[in-house]
Amino acid sequence: MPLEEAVKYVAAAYAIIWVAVVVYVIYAARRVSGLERQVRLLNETLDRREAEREADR
Amino acid sequence: MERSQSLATSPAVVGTAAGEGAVRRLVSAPALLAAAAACLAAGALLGFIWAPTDASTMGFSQKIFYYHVPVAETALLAFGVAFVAAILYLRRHDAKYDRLGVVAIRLGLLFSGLVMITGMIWGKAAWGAWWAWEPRLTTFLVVCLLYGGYFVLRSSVEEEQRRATYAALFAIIAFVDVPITFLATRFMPAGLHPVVFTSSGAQMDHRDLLAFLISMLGMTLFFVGLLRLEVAVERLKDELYYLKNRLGR
Repeated sequence: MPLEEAVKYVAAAYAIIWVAVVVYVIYAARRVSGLERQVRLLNETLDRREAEREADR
Repeated sequence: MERSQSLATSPAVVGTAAGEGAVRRLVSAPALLAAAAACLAAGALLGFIWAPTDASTMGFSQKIFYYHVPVAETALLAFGVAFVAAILYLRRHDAKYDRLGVVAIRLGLLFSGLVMITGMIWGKAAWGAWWAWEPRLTTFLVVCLLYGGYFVLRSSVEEEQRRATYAALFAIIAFVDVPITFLATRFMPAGLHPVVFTSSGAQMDHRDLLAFLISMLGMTLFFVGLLRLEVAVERLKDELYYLKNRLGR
């Protein structure tokens, strides 16, 4: 296979791996930060509710 | 920027106990992923610039080797982790091993997908065909289908403990195909895949070997980093479920 032709295949293989890797890391990182935000909000809501209960007593 | 800082300091990603030391932080997901990216870049650069171009029929397309083989080895490593996690789950019935198994197989399938795609590209460049029914390719395809079935099984069982037990048993049985895939080129040497690592050492130039080993290290670090990230996701999901239950009371 001529070099120019082979370069296209090699570039495609490397590009696919790098793109997949980067996209997956971004996807996983977004999920972590999204879930953390939800956990934080729920914790705050629970704390507020506890404080209101204490005040009622 | 804010997200990456949050991720780097996230207790779920770095670890939960307060006052964990620098060593713990060093093996945090962001640190592992950064090291992986550096190794992968270095491996590719060495492979392209320093290592000699293959003089046989493969020619320049041989350069795909530096990423394709590490991705394949990492996929098999991921299934190995799932195998160990399955055994541990059956012995201890601790949900964390079930989570580890799910995450390892998910990542194993990601890497397997990349192996299949890059392998097909390499096959087209080196052999002139996208696919060949030869031992390594066929056994790897069977691995992919088997582990794909793992998720079908999980989605078909509702009860949590039963699902985890069945999934662990399935992961152990499916793992039988992993050593077969790994050793396929040795058992059936008539295939298109050459045997590179023999009892007399690596059958390649030392520059090729170094580029390969650095890429292999990068891919393994990448797998461990992603494993930590994904385990953090699963842990956060459990925490969220627990908090929602508390809020509902």
